[in-house]
Amino acid sequence: MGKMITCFFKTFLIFFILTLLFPFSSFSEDKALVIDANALFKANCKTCHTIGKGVVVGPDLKDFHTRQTLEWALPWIRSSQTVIRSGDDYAVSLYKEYNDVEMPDQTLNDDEITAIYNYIKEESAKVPATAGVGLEGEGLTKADDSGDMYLIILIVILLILSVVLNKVVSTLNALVREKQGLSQDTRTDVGKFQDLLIQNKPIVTIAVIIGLIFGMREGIQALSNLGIQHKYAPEQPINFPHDKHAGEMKIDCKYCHSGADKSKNAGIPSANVCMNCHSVIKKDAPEIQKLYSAIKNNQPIQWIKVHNLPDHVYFNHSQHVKVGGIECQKCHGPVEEMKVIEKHEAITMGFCINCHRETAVKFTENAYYDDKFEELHEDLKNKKIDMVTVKDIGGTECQKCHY
Amino acid sequence: MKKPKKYWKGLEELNKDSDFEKDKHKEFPNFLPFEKGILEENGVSRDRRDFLKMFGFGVAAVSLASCEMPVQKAIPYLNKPEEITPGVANWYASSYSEGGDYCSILVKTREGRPIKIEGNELSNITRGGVSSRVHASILGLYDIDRLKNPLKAGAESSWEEVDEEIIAKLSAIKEKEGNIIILTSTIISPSTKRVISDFIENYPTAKHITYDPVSYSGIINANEKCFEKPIVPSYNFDKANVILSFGADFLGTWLSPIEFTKQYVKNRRPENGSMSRHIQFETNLTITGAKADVRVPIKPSQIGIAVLNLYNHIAKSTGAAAVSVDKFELAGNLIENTAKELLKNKGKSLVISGSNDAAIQEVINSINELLGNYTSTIDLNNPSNQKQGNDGVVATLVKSMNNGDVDGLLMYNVNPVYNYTRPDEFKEGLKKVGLKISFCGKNDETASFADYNCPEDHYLESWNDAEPKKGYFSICQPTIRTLFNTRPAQESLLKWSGNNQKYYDYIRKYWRENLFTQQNKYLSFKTFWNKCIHDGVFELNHEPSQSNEFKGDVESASNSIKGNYSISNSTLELVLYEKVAIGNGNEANNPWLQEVPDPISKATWDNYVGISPRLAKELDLKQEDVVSVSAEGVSSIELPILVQPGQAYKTVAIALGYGRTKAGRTADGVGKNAYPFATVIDGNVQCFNKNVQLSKLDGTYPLAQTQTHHTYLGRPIIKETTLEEYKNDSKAGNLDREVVKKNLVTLYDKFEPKGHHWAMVIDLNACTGCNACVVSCGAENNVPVVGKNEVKLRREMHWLRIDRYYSSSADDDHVPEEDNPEVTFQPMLCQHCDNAPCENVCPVAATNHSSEGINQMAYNRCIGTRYCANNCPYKVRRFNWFDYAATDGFPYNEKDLWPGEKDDWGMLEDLPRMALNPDVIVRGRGVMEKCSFCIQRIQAGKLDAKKEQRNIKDGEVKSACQQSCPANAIVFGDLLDPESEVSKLYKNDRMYHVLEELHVLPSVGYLTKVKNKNKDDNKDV
Repeated sequence: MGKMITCFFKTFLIFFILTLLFPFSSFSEDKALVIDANALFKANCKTCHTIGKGVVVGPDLKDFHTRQTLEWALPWIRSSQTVIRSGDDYAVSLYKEYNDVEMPDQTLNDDEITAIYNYIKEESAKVPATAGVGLEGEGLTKADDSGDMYLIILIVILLILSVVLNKVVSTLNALVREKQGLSQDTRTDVGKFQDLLIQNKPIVTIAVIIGLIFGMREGIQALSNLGIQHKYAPEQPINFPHDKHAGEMKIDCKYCHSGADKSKNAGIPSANVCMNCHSVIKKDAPEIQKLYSAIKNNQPIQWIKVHNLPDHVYFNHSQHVKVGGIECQKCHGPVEEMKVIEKHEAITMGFCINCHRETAVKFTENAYYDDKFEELHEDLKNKKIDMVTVKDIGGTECQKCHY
Repeated sequence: MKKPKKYWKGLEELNKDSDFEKDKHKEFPNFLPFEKGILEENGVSRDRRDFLKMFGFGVAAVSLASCEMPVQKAIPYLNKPEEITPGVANWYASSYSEGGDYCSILVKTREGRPIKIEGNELSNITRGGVSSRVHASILGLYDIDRLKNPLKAGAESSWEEVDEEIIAKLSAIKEKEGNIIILTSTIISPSTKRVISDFIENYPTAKHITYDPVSYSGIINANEKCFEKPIVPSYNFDKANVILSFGADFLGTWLSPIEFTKQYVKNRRPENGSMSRHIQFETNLTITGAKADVRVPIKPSQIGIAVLNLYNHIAKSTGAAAVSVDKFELAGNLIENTAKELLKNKGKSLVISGSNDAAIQEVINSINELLGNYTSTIDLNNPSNQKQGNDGVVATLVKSMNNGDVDGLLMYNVNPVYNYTRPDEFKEGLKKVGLKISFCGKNDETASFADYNCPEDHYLESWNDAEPKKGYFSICQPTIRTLFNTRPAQESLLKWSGNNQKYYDYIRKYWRENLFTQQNKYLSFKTFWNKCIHDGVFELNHEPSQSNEFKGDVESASNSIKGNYSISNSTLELVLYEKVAIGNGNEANNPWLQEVPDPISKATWDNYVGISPRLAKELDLKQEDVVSVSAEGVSSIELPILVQPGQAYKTVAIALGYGRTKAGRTADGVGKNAYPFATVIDGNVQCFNKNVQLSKLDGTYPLAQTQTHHTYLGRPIIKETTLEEYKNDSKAGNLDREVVKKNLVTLYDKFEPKGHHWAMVIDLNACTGCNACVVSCGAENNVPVVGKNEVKLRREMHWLRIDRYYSSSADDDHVPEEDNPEVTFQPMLCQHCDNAPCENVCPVAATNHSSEGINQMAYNRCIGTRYCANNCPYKVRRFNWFDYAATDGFPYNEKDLWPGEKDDWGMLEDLPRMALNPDVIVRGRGVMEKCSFCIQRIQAGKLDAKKEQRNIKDGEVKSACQQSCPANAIVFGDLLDPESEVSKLYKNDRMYHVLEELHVLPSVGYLTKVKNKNKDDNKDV
């Protein structure tokens, strides 16, 4: 009996490991190259160029391979100004055509440029002659979806397989019993399982206790996580990439969230702030077009709030940003790396309190504290303490945040 | 030995009423399940099984509710206005003006929503003071009963249609030279007056008539007779050493109470070494009478005679001709002694009368003239514009309307169908008017008779200006885009006069042409205009007051008085008065105002028949008995009895402003309309009736009075002394404090404040009990309205209440103590004790002490045991028995337990919730709440200081109650700053803590009340 169970587990384990391995082996190699070039294009070219979607800052790169060879493109991409200065006709006319806007030098190696060149070639072929506005990124999402799909189908197949195998084992067992002349085991599967439980009481008890503890722990965890929305990353009405704006472009957070050092709310930028740049840059990109249509239709953009604090919490951004000098990332995580904004920290009361316990206030720098907290000033001078935390000045009291 | 003074909150306490005795020791008089009685009455029963069901449902509902995480949206501006930063308040200077009531204000707006009104300290009229009505006007903006579109014959229409038809009809009237009347309340806006004169230029047959429901035309007529100036003068209470008032409630409702309170308290500080002496003759107990050093209850029919007697005493000493009148003397030769005091302070005294009888006012003028008060305490050269109504003209208008002589009637901010003395006459006349146009923002009693309703904006939505007093100009600017399809009345009038200008441009033009030219500080109009908008006020140099020749005829006036008044009138008299919060009833549809307890009777949500205890005994009437009040020519009304100490014997008092029928869902059906009981003398409407009858009806009507809620049961709470004693010893009245302080022992560690130690001092001598702070606190802290039924059950939610104590000298046996008690007001709020008894008993530490000395309340931690409230010696904690503010989605939590009874005051709708302060949480059911010392303001003040890297300045952080107080009675600040105002007051000899012997170490101090009383004053009355 025991042997049979072991056998069953073994089979299952093998299949399980196989299942885990399967997704990794399912990607072909040439696809990896396309993705690589895609990423390169996105990172380096996409800000100013499109393939078949019209002029942004620089020319539309559709059918670039028919206009210029790879040999021409290599030095041009590395340093466009050098090529222009060398008096290349095509380069000079291109420069004039686009109002003397320089194409910045790209630090890419030959292989990478080749990959991009080929990528443009490939993508150009995909764009129909009457290039309309397509939904970019759609293909990629589909590929991801199909990966999940394979996994689910596989699991289903394996489950069926294990049931079938189990049945085969029991049939074989029955045959063996018949052959040995033993009476048929008339017990049902459930009955057998019950016997097994009755025979192994201590193990069952321990298992139940462990199960209970584990269950309760999970339950409490789940309950306490209710409404916290940790890692919440909803789909936004406009697919705004923070990684591009805050990461690559290094735009200061407070350029858009201008209330952060003035107000309780950091503020979501109004459309006119977006327009400071996007009245020139990437005007035709579909996501930016959403911005234009919002302005045209006089309909404000309804962003989904990611960092929701409960109503009974008073939080003031300017207190933390301006007075405390806290980095935005401390609570919001590495926003400059986020493609889709997500709630990086749980931002629970524990999170706040911990920080208030550990963070030093600008005790000696800010004249507000000068004639207050004599004892703390004394301790600081005598090196009894090396910093004054928010908690030391009452920063963990109820009505600092709840009123 | 002198027996100690006895203090009592109500007659039930004084008489040891059994109901009162039963519940007096209980913080919460009713026990769970408190719904039982109510539910059984409604045929619903609940048992143990229901409890289990509800418990199960509760657990399931709570888990379900918390599973669902609604998607919250953040919707930014599409094109953000430069001056708005979400989360930062914008302040705009503006002016409140409502039928002549005026206040210069600052409006706090958040993300474009006005949420709070505060006083403008740049105004030399209101000087930063605000009244309860001004505070509550913010809720009037979000009144759900406002008209949303112009109406034509009661049906919604468009401005184009309405304009076209009105212009056609007006032109037709003009062609046939018919009469057009513009009937308005007092207009203090010079631009509006110009608009009206433009209109009259266009329609030459048009005439402007001013109508005030509570009119001052007696004063205007008297000044016309005496000085050939038909005006209401301005008064300087701060310059008067002796103030004598005959029934003028100048601290509460008379003329310009905020201005007068500011002036009055200036001269009531004993620290200055002297105090004005204030003597008040009045029928019903008002807050002015309560503040008076000597108060004399007098029948309205006696006032004329008393005035004449006073005149004779003064005339005798000044050599003027006396008039013949029956000698009327009160105990202790009061009138004669008062005359002596007045004569001693010639030129530094002030005699006023609240009467609307021109003859009485003429005699008053003559008394002031004899005392040399013109040019010092009374100023005829800088008149007040706040009341301009003329009763005589209005009466003529009503007559000609009934004769069918009026073809067009334009009604702006008037409601005569409700508040005219003869409403039926007006109604009948109205039917005969060809074209009736109303500008009222609501379809009220009068507007509903109009052919066209052209709703005007709320004052917070529109431009306007004001000149409440000659030379004192004020701007009113919009703080929000119009919520509905409304338009300023002025713009309507301009349009109909063929001028398509915006009213804003019109005002600018008026100011450019008339005011810009009168100053030389600013060279360009733009800078001048911007400065005026910024400051909210523009004040010209005060014109020096000159003496005016007195041309009055006291002899003929005295004859008129003798015909109308007598010493001994045997009939029952009725006096009509305005309540401090409700006023003339124009803004009655405001739940904040309805719920604020009357400062004297402490009743909410009703008017009633105030009757003197002596008369009540004689007529065998008890509190809440329903009586029918009738008088000749008036249909009777049924009202409950309220036994009111201090009410003159053989008189009753009924408040005006109630009994609205078309004001909206809050005010409709609350109380009864008493306007028809007013009588007319010499063409002027008098707020009294010399002959009314009371007849007791079956049954009682419950009143929601808060007076005996939260009582202290004879513990010494109030300390007071007299000026004389104070001069001898500045610790007078407060001597026991030394003893108390010596005997204090404690088991607890001494509290050491860190950073700040917030504290408050309240001057009992200054507080007039006007309730401005209560409404201000409610607006600032999102204090919910609970409604009459809940108030009755002692569940009012006000964080700050004003306790009114009656007191009587126990050694004075010959006067029944309830006939004319002294009155003391004591604002009571959380005392933020440093040894707080509430903190020790909270099982979940939801209430605890901050390092800055604030007794903090964490609502989200509170589980509602109410132990804290039971343990609070000051009884200042409030429990949310229901979800009064509708913060959650369970209808049962809201107050729908009393089907059929009036509870729908419209506060749970979306619109009024726009007035909520976004910086303060809205509390839900089952939590305790209380005064937080305006923690949000403290935190904001600290943050500003930290951002600017500087220390916080004294006076920078003001609590909402302090900010609004017209009497400057409340001072708030940091005790750790030795230079702060509050630290200095803590060292004042008058300072004491309430129940200091308990050693709870309160952070709120009170200053002993000092009365400017003579030794024998008590025996006078």
